[in-house]
Parts: sequence; C-alpha cells; structure tokens
Amino acid sequence: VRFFRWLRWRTDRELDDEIDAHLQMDIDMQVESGLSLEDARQAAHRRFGNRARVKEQARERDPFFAVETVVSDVRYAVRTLRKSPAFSLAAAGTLALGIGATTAIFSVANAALLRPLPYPHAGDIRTLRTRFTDGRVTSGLVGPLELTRLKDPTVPITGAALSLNMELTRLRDDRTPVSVAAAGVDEGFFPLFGLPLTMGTGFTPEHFRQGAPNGAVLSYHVWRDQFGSDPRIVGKSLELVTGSAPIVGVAAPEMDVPRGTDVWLNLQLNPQSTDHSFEGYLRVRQGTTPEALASRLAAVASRLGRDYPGPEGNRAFIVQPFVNAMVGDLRPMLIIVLSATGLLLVLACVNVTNLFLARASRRSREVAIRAALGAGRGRIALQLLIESAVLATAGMLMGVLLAYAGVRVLLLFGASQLPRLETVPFGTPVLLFAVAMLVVSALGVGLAPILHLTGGGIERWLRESGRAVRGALSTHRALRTMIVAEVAVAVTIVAGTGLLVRSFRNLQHEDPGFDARGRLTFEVLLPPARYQNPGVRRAWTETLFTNIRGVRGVTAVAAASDFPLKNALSARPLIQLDGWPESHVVAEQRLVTPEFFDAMGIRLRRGRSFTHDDRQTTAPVAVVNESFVRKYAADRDPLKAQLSFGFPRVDPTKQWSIVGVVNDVKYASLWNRAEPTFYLVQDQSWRFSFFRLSVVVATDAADPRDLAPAISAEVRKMDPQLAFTIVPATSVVASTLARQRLGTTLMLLFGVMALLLAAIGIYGMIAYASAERHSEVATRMALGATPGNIFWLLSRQGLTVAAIGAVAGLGIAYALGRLVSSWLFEVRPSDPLVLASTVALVLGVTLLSTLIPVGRAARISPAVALRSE
Amino acid sequence: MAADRIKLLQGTLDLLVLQTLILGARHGHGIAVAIQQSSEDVLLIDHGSLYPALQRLERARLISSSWGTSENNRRARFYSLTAKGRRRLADETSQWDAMVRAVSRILRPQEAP
Repeated sequence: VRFFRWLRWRTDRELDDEIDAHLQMDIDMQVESGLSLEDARQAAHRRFGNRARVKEQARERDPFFAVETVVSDVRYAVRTLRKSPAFSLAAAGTLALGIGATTAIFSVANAALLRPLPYPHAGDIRTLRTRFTDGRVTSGLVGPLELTRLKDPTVPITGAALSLNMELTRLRDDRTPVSVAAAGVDEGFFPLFGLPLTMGTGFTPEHFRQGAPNGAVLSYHVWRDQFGSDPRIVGKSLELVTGSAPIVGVAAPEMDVPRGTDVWLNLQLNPQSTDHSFEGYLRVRQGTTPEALASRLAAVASRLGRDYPGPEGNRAFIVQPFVNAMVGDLRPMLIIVLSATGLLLVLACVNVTNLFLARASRRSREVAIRAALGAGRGRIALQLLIESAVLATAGMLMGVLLAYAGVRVLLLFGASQLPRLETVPFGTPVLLFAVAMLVVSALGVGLAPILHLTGGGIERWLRESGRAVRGALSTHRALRTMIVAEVAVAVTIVAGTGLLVRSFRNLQHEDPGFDARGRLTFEVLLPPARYQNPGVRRAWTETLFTNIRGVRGVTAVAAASDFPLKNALSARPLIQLDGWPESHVVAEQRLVTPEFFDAMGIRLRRGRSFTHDDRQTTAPVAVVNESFVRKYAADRDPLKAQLSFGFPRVDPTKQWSIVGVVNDVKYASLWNRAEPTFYLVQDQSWRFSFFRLSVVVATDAADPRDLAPAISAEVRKMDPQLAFTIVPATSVVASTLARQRLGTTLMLLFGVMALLLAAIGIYGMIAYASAERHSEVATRMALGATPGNIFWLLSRQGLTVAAIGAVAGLGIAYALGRLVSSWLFEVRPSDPLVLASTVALVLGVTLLSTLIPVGRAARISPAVALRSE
Repeated sequence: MAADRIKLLQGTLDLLVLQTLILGARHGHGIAVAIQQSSEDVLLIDHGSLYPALQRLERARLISSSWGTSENNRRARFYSLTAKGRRRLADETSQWDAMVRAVSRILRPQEAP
C-alpha cells in the first residue's frame, strides 16, 4: 500500500504540475490578448473545468490506482461503519444470522446429499431389488440365481454382489457377550465397492467354494474400538457364540455397507438358489444410460421368468443410485429446510438493505457534496458497494463461526443418528458456499442504496436532503416494498413452521395401537447351535418368563417375532382366504406368545385372544387386526372365516380359523397406516418358532427402568452369553420420530428468527419514518392535534403495509404447503388454525414493533421538536 | 457565441488530439488551443478533459511524453506521436471520412457527391 501511495503521490504531483503550467499558460495568453490578470485567471479556470474531477478520472484509468482506490475505500468504509457502531453491529449481526443459518444447513445438506460417497466411481454403483409385476407383494430382496443370470456379457455391468444382514453375538476375552451386526457377503462384494483393506488380504476366491473355511473381515471401527487397533489382528480368531472364524482383514475406515456393519463374513451360496433374502448391488459399466441398463435387466428378468415360472415369474428388477439407498427420505426434509434458510437469508438482506436505505437518505447530502466535488457516479457506487461488502464480510466471518457451532449443536440434537451425518465436514465446499452467500448478500444489500443514491441528479439530492422536505419519496417507496417482502417472508416461514409443528404433534399423539407406558422391551437372539431343538427353545422361554414374572412390579411378560416400530421385519406369505382368489390377499404374518396382546395393551375387538390351550395338537387358530377385517372380510363375519398360507405356495392342508379381532398396531412407522395382519400363536407354528425373541415386560412401576437390572439378572442367569439391552417402550416410539423432531426443531428456530428479523425490520422502518416526521408532528401538535390523532397518522402506514405483506405471505405459504403436503401428517396446507394463528402472530409482532416507535413520536413535546429544527 | 458551439462527439477527442500532434510535439495547453483554433471556436471542450484523454492515449502507447520548456520559458510536459499513434490516426481518419460520407448521404441525399 505504501508503494501505491508513493506512486500515486508521484503521478499526482506530476499531474498537478502539468495542470498548473496549463493554467498559467492560459492566463499568460489571455493577458497578452488584453484581459486583466483577475479576469484572465477566472476565464482560465472556467475553461479548464472541474480540476478535482479531471484528476479523479485520470486516476481511475490507472490499474495501480484502482487497487489503491479499493484499499482506501475499504478503509473509508471501515471508518464510516465504526462511526455508527449500532448500525454496523445490527447490520453485520443480521447478516451473520442469515449467512450462518444457510451455511449450517448447507453443510448438513452437503454431508448428506452432495458429498460423494467414499467409493471409487461411486456414481456407477446401484442397489438392486425386485418386485412382482402382478401386484403380489415381496420383500424386494434378490436371490443368487438372479445374480448368476445378471453376470451375462450382454448386461452392461462390471460387477454384481450380494449381502445378507445377520445378528451375531461375539464373546469378549472374558467370555462376556457383545452383539455385532454382521453381513454375509459373496465373492463380488469387496471388489465391487473397490476400497483397499486397511490390513490383511481379505477374502480369496477359495473362501467362496462350497465347504470352504470361514473368514471374517473386521470393520475399522470395531478393530479400533473393540480390539484396540491391534496391529497383529490378522490371523487371530474372532470368537462368536456360534463358533469362531479367523480374521482375514480389516476394512477401510470408509467402508460401511450395509450401513452399520461391524464384521463381514464369507457366504457360500448355491448359485442356482432362488432364496430371495439378499441385498443386491451392481456396478454399472461407465457411460451406460439408465434406459440401456433397464432394457438389458428386463430381458434377463423375462428369461428368468420363463425358466423358473414359480419363484421368478413376473419379477422385475429395480435399480436405484446407491446414494438414494443411503439417504432415503432425508432428501425432502433437507430441501424444505434449505429453502427455509434461503428465505431467512433474504429476510436478513432485506433488513440490512432497509437499514442502509434509511441511512442512505440521511447520507444523501454527503453523496451530493461528493458528487459536486467531482466524484463520478461509478466512484460513488463503488464506495457504497464496498461499504456493504465490508459489512457482509464481517457478517460472513461471524456467520461461519455461528454455522460451525450450530452444526455441532445440531449433531447433539440427534442428527448424528441419521445416515451420512455421523460427521459433517466443514471443508472447501462449505466455505465456498459461505463466500457465495457473502457475494449475494453484499450485492443484495448494496444495490438498492446505489440505485437510490446515484439515480437522480446532484441538484435533486441537494434539494431533497434539505431539512424542510419530508424525506425522499422514493426512499419511502423502497422501504415500504421491503416491509411488504419482509412480512410476506415471515408469514411464509412461520406458517411452514406451524404446519410442521402440527404435523409433528399429530404424529406424537398418534396412537401406535399399543400402550408404550410402563413397559420395557428387549431382544435376545438364541444361538441356533445350542438352541436347535424347538422344544428346548420353548422350555427356555417358559422358564425365563416364569422367572421374570417373579420380579416385583412385573405384571405380564410376553414375546413376539418382532416389536412394533422397531425395524420390524415382515413376513408376507401367500394367503388363501376363502372367497378370495389366490394371492390377492396380502397380509403380514406375526408370531406371538399367548399373553402378547395383554402385555402390550392391545385391545381385543371381537372373539377371543390366544390362550395356553392353543397348542400344536389343537385346531390351528389365527387372530387378525381390524384392517384385515375392513379389507378382506367387511361383508361377513370374520370369525367364521378360515385361511391357509404358505411360501412359495399356499399349503392347503392346514386351515386356520380366525377366532379373534384386535385393534390395528402400527409396525412400520407412526407415519404409515397399519397393514392387514394376522397373528399366530408360537406353539402352533414350530417352523417359525423364535430364535430371535422380542420380549415385552409390562410393569406397574412408576418408572419401568427401575426394574431393568432385576430383569437383566434373570436373563443372564439363564444364559450368560446372550447380548441384549433393555429399553422402555416409550423410547422405541420416540426414536422413530427422531427425524421429524430434528426437522421440527430446525423449523421452530427458523420461525423464531424470521419473526425477530421481521420485527426488527419493521421497527427500524417505522422508527425512521417517525423520526423524519418529528417536525411535522410537532407542528401538528402545536396546531392542536391530539396524541391520538398523531398515533393514528403514524401507525396507519405501517399497518397497511403489514396487511399487504401478510396476504401475500399467506398465498406463498399455501402454495409451498401444497408442495410439501405429502410430507405433512394429517395436516392440510390450508389448515385454518395454522394460517390464522400465523397471521395473528405476525401481525401482532408487527403491531408491537410499530407501536413502540409511534408511541414515542406521539409523546414528543412540540416545543422541543420545533426548537431542534 | 456559446450557443453556436457544439459538444464533442464521444470518442472523437482522442482523434483530434492525435491530429494536432501530427506536426510535432506539443504541451497540453498547446493542444487545447490548437483544437479550439483550428475548429474556429466551434468545438467546446473543457481543457481539463484533455488530461484524462492524454493519459489514456499514453497508456495505449499511441503518444509519448517528456518534460521540456515552453516558448515562454515555462516547464511543461510535451506530447508527441509514436509510430503506432501515426498508424492509428491514419486508420481512424479514413474511417471517420467514410462515416461522415455515409451519414451525410443519409441526411442530405440530394447533396451527396
């Protein structure tokens, strides 16, 4: 900068000398032609024109001076801003809020949606599932035969793989159990994802031959957390309750397929098997269009259907980008929240623009004088723009800090349990985004005052900044437009928040169909090796339950194949219900112990519940839920109906009589309707008898958690090698709402911020407008106007503007609400309660922020105001 | 007299400056006086506006400058045409003539040569 200054000084001096010489020569010339010295001097100066402007123009052409100009403008801007700290702090703080919120949400969206998956060429990876084209329902999983057929040269893929989720129990060195999420994988699995192992050689082709030995690949986090990053882990043995497997490798830190896997095991599959229990993955050849892939897959599917009409008939493949499978329904929430923050930034910019405009008209005299002294229009605009850029930079720096802190808080709130949000990196893309927001807000904030101030001619500014005139009309028009926008945005965000909050409260109050209060639940997995015999399993369960019933405070205990809302797996066999054609009845099958309905607080609507007398030897009975009756037995007495089922074919030899109807229970989520379901009692379906047991314990304790230690002790007494965790049923229900809770919390935050910003903006405008009319008010009061008259006079404008904004905002809110209505639970976007309370709230805040400054103006003493003129 | 003067067309000032330098080096005041006299006082220029133009031309290497002494012994900066400036002047002059002819043909068809 010193170098620039020296350059400037040198060239400036030269130019000054030159101009002096010019003027002198002109004077000499005029004097020679007979003018007096004084007249000659005046004529010379007149002919020369504006000397300062000439120098300024000369300077603007010089690249060195351009830098120098910007530097000195920045300095000037900082000086000006420091002279009005309240204004600067308010403006920078507002921008910090806006930029901070958008950056925080962007970093989350970036982590979940935009950040590439850690696998090489991850864009080529697809998930593979199947569906029936004839309306029958399937789990959608794939089988080994399908994969064998897909490895055909006509299919444009470079790899295909399967995985199978398994729950296993590992034994620590002290023989205590710990449950591990395992995934059985086939030969193509690790090559498909393409990440090198951290150590070891991993699986070799031999591992996948029939009868080959087991092997295990540990996940990086298990190796680090449970094995202390043992550098000589490879070759040691992984001890499982079901046996042991030599550890052949440790996976890359980023390898996480299927999500949450602790250890991968080698599967030995029969390539001709049609067992549909596997997750499928494809790696598509680069540059393949979705259409080409789909048509090749369809060809394979139709050949399969021809060759194996039973299990493969009418099946079609579905492929999806791998990232979708990981992120799932997080996308709409992030989009909603990101647009809400975008609106928030708009709001922040509007506010700061407001502040600027209000100040600009106070500065119009300064600008007019600078223009008169020779500052070009571009020069003034640059200066104003630099001022807003300096403010926005301060706002961005604060905003990035805010965003960083905010994201950490967000993760504490539970976002870290959402897919891909274990970590939210704060890297280059996020900082670039923040800078982009800085540019947007600097331009957004700076442009209005520039147009405003450099618009008319100098004369107009000298005139309008005179104190007698009541503010520049154009300033008022601009301010009013801004307030309309501000109120509209606030209404939009608040209404959106209202819709989400109502949707969330509806979900919270949604009846899952069972009573979660006073109940504990846990899952145990009986290792098949030791509990192979169903009789052993049954006796084990009986004893355990008898012991648990002995714990003080326990009122009932039961078990089922799965617990509602807990990632329940669904078994959907083919069903034959009399009066219906085969495979048109679709219902979920769930196994329970006799007391299950009682222990869960599920109510019996008709008929009877299961009893201990429903045994293997007695007539097979089923209990159905109300949805089943509504859908399949609406026109007759369900208690007289019989059904048979089976997979892959219905077993007609066994007819199950429906003996009871219970209320609907939501298994998948609070969000989804209950599916038609039929329950069977465990004793009558040995084939399905549990290895995996979801136990529910009903208690009359005030806090059921108090009983957990005693119940744990009973289970451990039965088998010290079982891994399990006892949780209150209420927390199972609450955890299904984690996503919605996060979204709602965010929107609530935005709603409050939007209201605050709108209030500040309106307050600022009305305060400014009233202050400007002080002398008018004083005159009116001196002439006999009452404070009431003044009050009405000043507040009318603000209230009209707010009303227009509210109407506009309602329209936008309704339109946006319709866009996201599929994401709302039992709330319509036109929900009158939400819309009415939004308008009431926003107008209330508007009213408040209008009345405070207006009240102050109405109380001024005319004498004081007139004297200050 | 002022009413008869016309404001300079945008961009023509550079051309006029180059033309006045064709007979040799001049200082800023000399250029201003020369333009005014040779246009018989019809063209109105602020003498000041000459200096940004001179800087512009010098940066484009169409003219060069050095300090010297004026006819009545004042220190002044003298500007002279460079080879590039000479070429540019020739180009622009013929372009200017072509344009003037074209515009006149449109404005006064009957008088066209």
